[in-house]
Amino acid sequence: MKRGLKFAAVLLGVALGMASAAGVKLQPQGDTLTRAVQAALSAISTKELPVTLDSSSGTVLALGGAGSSAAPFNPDVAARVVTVGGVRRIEFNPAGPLPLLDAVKQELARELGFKDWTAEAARTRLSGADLNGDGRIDLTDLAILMENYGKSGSVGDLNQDRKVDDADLRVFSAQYKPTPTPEPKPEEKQNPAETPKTPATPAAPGTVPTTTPATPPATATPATPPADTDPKEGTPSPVPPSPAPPADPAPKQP
Amino acid sequence: MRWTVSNKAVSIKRVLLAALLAATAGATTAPPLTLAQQVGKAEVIVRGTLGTAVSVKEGEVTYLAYPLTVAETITGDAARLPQNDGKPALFFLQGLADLPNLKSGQEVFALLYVRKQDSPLVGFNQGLYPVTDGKVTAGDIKTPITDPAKLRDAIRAALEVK
Repeated sequence: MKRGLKFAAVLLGVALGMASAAGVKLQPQGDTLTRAVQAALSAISTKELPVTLDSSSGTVLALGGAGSSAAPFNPDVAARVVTVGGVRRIEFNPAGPLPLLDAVKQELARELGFKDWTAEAARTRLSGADLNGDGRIDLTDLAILMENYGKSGSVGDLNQDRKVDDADLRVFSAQYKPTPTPEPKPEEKQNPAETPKTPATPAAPGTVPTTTPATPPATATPATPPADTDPKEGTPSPVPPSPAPPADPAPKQP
Repeated sequence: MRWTVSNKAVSIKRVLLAALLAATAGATTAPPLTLAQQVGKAEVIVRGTLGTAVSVKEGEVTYLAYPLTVAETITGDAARLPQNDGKPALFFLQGLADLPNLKSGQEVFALLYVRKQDSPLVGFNQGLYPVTDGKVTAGDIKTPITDPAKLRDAIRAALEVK
């Protein structure tokens, strides 16, 4: 009975969108920079994946140089990366060519390996489903996961339960969005047999996937795009349809 | 929720993220400048040859100084460049990421600021045009410049507009 209640509570948590958080380890120095970093992180946070600042360790962020890195900034740089005494520092130019918040976003996008400073890019990078770290969640990542299916403690253990199994496939399915296949022009219509079967990249944020998988997974929950919008675009993304999950990967028997 | 992650998993994710951060290569944010923009900003433009870098400490700050044997001054006064041992040199902040790969004996066109700072090059690394096998890589995709003489002409043309 107790177990049943616990299970129901977990399911309820899932249904309510109980989010995991990604803590970004950075050490901004000073109020101005801390506020800028927090503002930048809040711009990519979503209900599904809150991105929070964990300042207990990590790369030091500073406004201006100090001590052995006190050299004046080149006027054309918004930020520079310096290693001082083995400590990695990102120093922002107080008189640089970009507003501080923009400089923080650009520099952190590089630091965190995001393609750009959007919730979508953050989700891709931080969800763990981008197994080869190329900034996309695609069939290459699925191939890696399948390669390790049934193994313990391998790459592809997305839910960190020390084994790669159906649960990881479900996590992957929730993150994966197929790339829309461009409509061929009438005169260029191809033989369906020649049409590439595997999309190369996932759908861009806010775009409508046009491909449908051969077999939808039985238990996958389709990923929803971030609730907020790309601050650069300034317009809300249209509500996307349920993204299509990957084709049934037919897992190997462990 | 799209993926169920326990507290343990979250902490693992944080560790992974920290590892990811540590493994990320350094990067410097400098908006790209066209050749004309670089020329517009440069205080001194020279063609010269780099020597072997030496470490120079000034107060707490340590610089790497590359002696520069100036063959030709296209604009400005090369004597205003920071000096080391009485000769002009390119000073870079030691420990700075993303510095250009400079070699002793390398011939370069250099668009420079005269103040001693983390990098003397206009646009951070952008104002450096190494001459390799008699060729440079400059201009843009539409109008690439590979001939050093043409680069000099393009710089002079931009100087006239300046």
